[in-house]
Amino acid sequence: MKIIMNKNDLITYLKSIVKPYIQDEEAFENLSEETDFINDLKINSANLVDVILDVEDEFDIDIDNEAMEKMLSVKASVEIITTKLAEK
Amino acid sequence: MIGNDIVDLKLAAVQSNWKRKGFLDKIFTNKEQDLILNAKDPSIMVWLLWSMKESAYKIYMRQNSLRIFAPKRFECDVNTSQNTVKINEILYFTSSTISKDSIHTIARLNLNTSIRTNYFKMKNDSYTIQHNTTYNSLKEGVTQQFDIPISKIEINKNKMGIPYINELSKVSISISHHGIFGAYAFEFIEPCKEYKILWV
Repeated sequence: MKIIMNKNDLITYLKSIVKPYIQDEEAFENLSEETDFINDLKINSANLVDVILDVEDEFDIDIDNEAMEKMLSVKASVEIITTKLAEK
Repeated sequence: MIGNDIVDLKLAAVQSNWKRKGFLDKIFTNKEQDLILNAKDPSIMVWLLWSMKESAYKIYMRQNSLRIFAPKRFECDVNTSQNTVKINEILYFTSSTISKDSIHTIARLNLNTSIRTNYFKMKNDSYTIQHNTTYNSLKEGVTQQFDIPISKIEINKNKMGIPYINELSKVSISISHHGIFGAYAFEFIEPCKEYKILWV
């Protein structure tokens, strides 16, 4: 069975995943598709690995290195998660 | 071009669990993982290699005007003469200072330029303190190096998050902070004519 999630639900889910790692509350409150993990949320780059591992666990998908390279923003992550979920 | 990175080891120990399943494999090559697992202090090796990758990435990003999150593609070589990081056949030279509480690494493309760098402990780890202390220290360093009044130095960041000083377009600068540690590095070519002319 495929899990079908709309974009807004996915962003909400992603927001809960990144929450433990953010260092800018205001940017987090205003999180949108355009939000950048490092420049806006000030997530420590080593914690970006945790975000990716958490996304893999939560969505039960595998983020390969090529996909990981792009995962610097909410928008890119949503696109990658959507693609990987569709492949399941 | 220059890049630098600082790791607060105490913070890293609580902020990141490198023993987490999948963590090492997302960041480190097999060779690097061997280095870590055989190291006398594996945590130090994790953060040494990480700071090498990060500081080299800061140069890579500038060269290519491209942001990527691909730590595994930055391959580290740790040896007794000159540590290096390599990606796409481009070699970055790194040097690291390891102390009890921090690791500071500088990466450079060219070993013949002049650099000025410093790392320091801050009074606390609030993000604002980290940011302001690091910016002010960089300004002090620039003032001393180029004899420019501190009030004239304005640090900006471009769209990619790369810092620069308006009037010193030929000076490559890099800023880093983590926990209670901050660091900066800048690189310039001597004699620094460009810098003087502007201010006399």
